[in-house]
Amino acid sequence: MPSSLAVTAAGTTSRRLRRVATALVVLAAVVPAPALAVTVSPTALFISARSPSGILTLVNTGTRPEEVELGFGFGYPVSDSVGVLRVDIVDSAGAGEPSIAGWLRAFPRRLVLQPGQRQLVRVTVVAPPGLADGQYWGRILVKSRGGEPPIEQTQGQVRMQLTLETTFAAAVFFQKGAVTTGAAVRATSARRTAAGIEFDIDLARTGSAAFLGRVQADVVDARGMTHASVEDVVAVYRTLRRRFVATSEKALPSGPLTVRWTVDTTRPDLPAQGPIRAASVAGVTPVQ
Amino acid sequence: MRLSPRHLLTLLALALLSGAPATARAQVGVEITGSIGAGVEILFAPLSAAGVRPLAFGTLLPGTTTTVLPRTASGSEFRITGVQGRKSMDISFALPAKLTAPSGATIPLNFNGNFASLCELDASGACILASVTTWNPVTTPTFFDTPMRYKPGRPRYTTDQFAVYLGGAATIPPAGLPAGTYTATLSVLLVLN
Repeated sequence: MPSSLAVTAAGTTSRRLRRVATALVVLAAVVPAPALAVTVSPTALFISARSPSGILTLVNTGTRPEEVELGFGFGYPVSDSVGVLRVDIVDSAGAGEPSIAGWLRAFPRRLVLQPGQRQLVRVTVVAPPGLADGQYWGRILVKSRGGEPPIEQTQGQVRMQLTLETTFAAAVFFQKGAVTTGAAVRATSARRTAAGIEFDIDLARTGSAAFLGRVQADVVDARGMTHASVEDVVAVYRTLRRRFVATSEKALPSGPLTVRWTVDTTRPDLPAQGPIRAASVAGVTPVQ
Repeated sequence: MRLSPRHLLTLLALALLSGAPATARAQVGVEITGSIGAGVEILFAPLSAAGVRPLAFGTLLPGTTTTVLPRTASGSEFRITGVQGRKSMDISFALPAKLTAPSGATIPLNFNGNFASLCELDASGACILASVTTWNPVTTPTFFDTPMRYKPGRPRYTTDQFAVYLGGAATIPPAGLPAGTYTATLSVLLVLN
């Protein structure tokens, strides 16, 4: 059957094309922007073998029904040589990875959230018997679509539907027995750049659990005066290089500078009972 | 009357639970998070994300490629809310290679170019132009944003909402296409670590 697009190319239906194009422009212009949509909390679940389930709360704060589907995966942050982070979420982890992706269950897994509706989702880890002590990792993927019905772009008998979907990949940590964590700082360096003070820090997790914490770095002069600061959360599952650029509205002094840094487990964004606590690590790195 | 930090925290929590405006809530969160530790977790607003507008390629002619730029009326838009007080954001897309019909026929899609963009929105929902940035979602699959990117010295986001835009290109084969409904899903992925 010949394509309707091919027919339109022949110029026999240019008026209809103009109508379609006009309709599409109008359609794009009138789609309202929702204020909010599905929220997911907490952003990480900490589950133990003693009580192998946790609760996610989903709330539709938008004005239209949202279709929600929960899935499972595995992935943690890794970084390249310049500290750029990447998280590859995969269905099943490679050999040797402490993955719980295949052990995760959620109820309900599919639901429709009406505007204003709140739904609790129970997430359970069904671990195999005889599992060794340690911490195991996974991701729960909360996919939501809706808010707006898919828009159809109709051109004769060829129709296009592009659906928008949002996915939260929340971390799930499963702990069996006692675990420990810590951050070892393998190397640091700091240098002046046009953008500010570039500070690299190479972190390696110690112990048997992921290190969930933060890095705080201050650029100080010889008198101890702070000229710029930078801070961010870090999740070190194995090793991680982070690059920070500390900037200031004022020009940085030309004299000697150092970066005073601290790595600790302060994470107010996570449930208080969740991350494994560890001693903080601090140091000073001269700026080149 | 002089209030202790514990009293202040209690009052702030009560204010939040009583439905204080979102902007005030987030400002309170920023104010406190640095000094009171784990007790403030209720002050972190949850993140939410919503698809606002899908890509609209408009009229496609056989043998041609139609390109839609981000931050245009035809480009897609997502909104991310709950950003205020956070120290960084990772934004990724799951991009389809094609639109596919039940018959198996396809319309190739291409996102390899400066097709992704974001801006911070002010309290009225207007884009803060100084915050606009654009990237290639294929070569930079995860865009890492920080509050200092365009505001030196800002340790945390002071705005609460991002608009994330996506454009792309669609190519129609010269021979045209069989009839059918061609579908694909554009997904924005927020990885929380």
